[in-house]
Amino acid sequence: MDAGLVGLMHGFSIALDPHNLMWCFLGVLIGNMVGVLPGMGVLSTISILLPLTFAMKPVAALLMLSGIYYGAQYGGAICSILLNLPCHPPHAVTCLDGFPMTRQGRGGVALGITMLAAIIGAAFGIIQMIFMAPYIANIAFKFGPQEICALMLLGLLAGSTLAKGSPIKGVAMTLFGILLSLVGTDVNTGSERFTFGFLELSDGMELVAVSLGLFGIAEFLKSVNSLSPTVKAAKLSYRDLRPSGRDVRQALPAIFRGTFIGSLCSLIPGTGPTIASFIAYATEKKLSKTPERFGHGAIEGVASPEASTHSAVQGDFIPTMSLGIPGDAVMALLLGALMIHGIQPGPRLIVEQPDIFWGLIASFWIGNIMLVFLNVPMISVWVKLLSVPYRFLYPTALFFVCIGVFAARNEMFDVAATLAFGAFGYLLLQLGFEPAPILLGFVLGPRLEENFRRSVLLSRGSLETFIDRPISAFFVGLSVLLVVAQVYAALRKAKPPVRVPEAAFD
Amino acid sequence: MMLTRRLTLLGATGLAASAGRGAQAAGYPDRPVKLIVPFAPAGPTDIMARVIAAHLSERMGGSFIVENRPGAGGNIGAAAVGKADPDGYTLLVHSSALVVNPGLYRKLPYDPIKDFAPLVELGTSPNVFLADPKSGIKTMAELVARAKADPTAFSYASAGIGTTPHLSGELLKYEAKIQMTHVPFAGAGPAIQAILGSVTPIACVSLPPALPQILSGALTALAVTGATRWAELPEAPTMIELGYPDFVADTFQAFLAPAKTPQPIVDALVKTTLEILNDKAIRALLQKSGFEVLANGPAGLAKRITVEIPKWRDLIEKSGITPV
Repeated sequence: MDAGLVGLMHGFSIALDPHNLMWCFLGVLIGNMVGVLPGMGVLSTISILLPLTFAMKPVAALLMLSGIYYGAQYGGAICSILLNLPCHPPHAVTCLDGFPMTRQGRGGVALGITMLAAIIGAAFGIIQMIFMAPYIANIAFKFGPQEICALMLLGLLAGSTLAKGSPIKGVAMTLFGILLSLVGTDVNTGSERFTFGFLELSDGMELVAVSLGLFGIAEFLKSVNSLSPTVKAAKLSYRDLRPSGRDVRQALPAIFRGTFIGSLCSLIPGTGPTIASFIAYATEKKLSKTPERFGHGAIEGVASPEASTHSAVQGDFIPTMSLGIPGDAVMALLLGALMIHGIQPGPRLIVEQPDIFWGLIASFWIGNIMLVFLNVPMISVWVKLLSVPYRFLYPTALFFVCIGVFAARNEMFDVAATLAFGAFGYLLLQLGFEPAPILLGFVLGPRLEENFRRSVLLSRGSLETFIDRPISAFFVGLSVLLVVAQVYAALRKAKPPVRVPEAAFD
Repeated sequence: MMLTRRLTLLGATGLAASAGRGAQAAGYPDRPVKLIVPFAPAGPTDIMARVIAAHLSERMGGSFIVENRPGAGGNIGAAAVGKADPDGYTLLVHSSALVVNPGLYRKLPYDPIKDFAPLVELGTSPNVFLADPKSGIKTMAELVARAKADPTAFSYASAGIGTTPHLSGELLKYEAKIQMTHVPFAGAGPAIQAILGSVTPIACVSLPPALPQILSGALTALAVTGATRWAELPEAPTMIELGYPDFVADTFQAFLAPAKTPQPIVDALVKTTLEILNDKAIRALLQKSGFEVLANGPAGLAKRITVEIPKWRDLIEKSGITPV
């Protein structure tokens, strides 16, 4: 405990150095802007700015690049909530309840709650990094392929009824999402699946392309075809922008649950903020006494995934900094930036480069506080953005979306894919299918498959491996319980009225 | 603001430097030159390309920019350069995938020999065979002996199908006549994490990302697959020393231009790149980032490409991997 505080004091002396402070501020500012702009991704921004860090001191470089990462999360929810544009995958699930809130004129409240969720989630993530980084990193090793596979199974089962409306349709969409995720090169055999000869598909679909298409473009197509504008910015007073006491009371427990889920997910290899946000949303809906409110502007549906994203983003740094093993592509870039300066990230980083480790943690505090001050006053500005006539607002947003999707891989193909998914998403909306579970299947499916096959490869074909290990047995048990409970509830509901066979064709 | 100023500064130093030189290939470059990296940013190939690009800008004037075109095991980016105008403004920094992929893919969208003019073999990183200390294995001989005694006892993690670490593992199985189950992961990081968490007792990955774990004692290095021992890991023997002649399986980084690029431009690029790689400070930096700097000119690179394509193809066939 003490070592943590001493280290943190040292860290503050590094992070408050005017030179480092300036780069930290620049990082969170760029990040925040990237987050707000529809389309620009964290990954492409960091890779564009990476060469600039050659000329910088390694500490300053790291503070700036990390600032971009967590700064972007602050802006990331804005487009999801106000425009239904999930430009940043971790905030895709925020669309589900955030956008309905905007339609009810409560967009400002939703944004206010995301700020609260952000600061609580981030603070928890940082505190656990200060005091428990080395111990917590070891938890990661308890999660082998069997555990990850079982957890993903649980996530898929819990989440397939993620959306409002018919559960059967939800399950169908989840399965469709899993099918979509199969496109590309199979990790276990190297053979290509469903690529139809397109070289561009050999690494699979881009998550941004799928989510922007299914949500953003589909929503756009729906709105341009309707006579009255879907979002009204009228009747906005300052009061409407602030969450009321009741809102906060409703959101707080969800925020804490989301924070916990986010920090857990960040420790499991290959499970970053995006997966965390989906699992948090699904959990919240499952635990809620009024699950029918979800999808119609439930504030918990915004609070929980947002908190989990922020806590997972901070938690992401734990395995990266204390083991030298990057959890995702952004972390790999940050480690690359260190390696360019000749610094080897690894288990001895904390001891050998205390300036980097503790300076980074201290800068998290400073950066997050700066972000709150940057963003809270801006909420009313963002909400006013909605009063820009639709005919200007959406084409502009779409323009940025295209640039962003292109910039992710420098690939025109992905822009076309986004538009195709948009058309498909529109069709789904017309038929009453919610697109959210597609994303769930798309995000969790590959982890499930990859780890299932890995587990079975290691156990030489025996499925017992999933119940031999306590953690995975626990998750499998929960999954079974979930299915049984679902079936039981359905049967009980179905009992009283004696069903006529024809009713099945409804 | 700050950024633009810094950019201008960078540009200004580049211009000043070019004023002194000129005349190598008259007028080249008069617009930005793209160095295409067919992999994601921050990987070894990308780091090497960015270091080279920064110094090329400085020494030749103009701007050399890195563009990542990842996908299809490097085939997308390589094809883009192979089909580009041979005017010296689109260049390629590739890895061993250039020589491995012809054996791995049934059909390539480019010809690895005919479509490119080799410039410089930049650097190389060996792979390393790792053992989990909990498995009790300390040497390669122990691993081979125990794997012979029980053919189902061992599995090994690699950075993915068709990567040189995977093929190194297959080569070991073939040469030592042992059995191990291959468990592919998506990259070196997850593979290292797997062996750290005792998911597999053995792993084969590129050496640089594993080095910190070896030095801290969390993992045991059984052997490196380079031609010589690795400077920062002097106690780990090479496979050749252990009695496996010709067992060299490393990942190189190579600099190429489209075929038919004008000779004066090729000469200027080769000359400047070799100067950069022979600069002591740059060499030391690259070494620290995990590269052994090679600095072989066009002839050396061309030879390596022609030798290695059949070598890997042969190994891929022997280890029973079906080309895609």
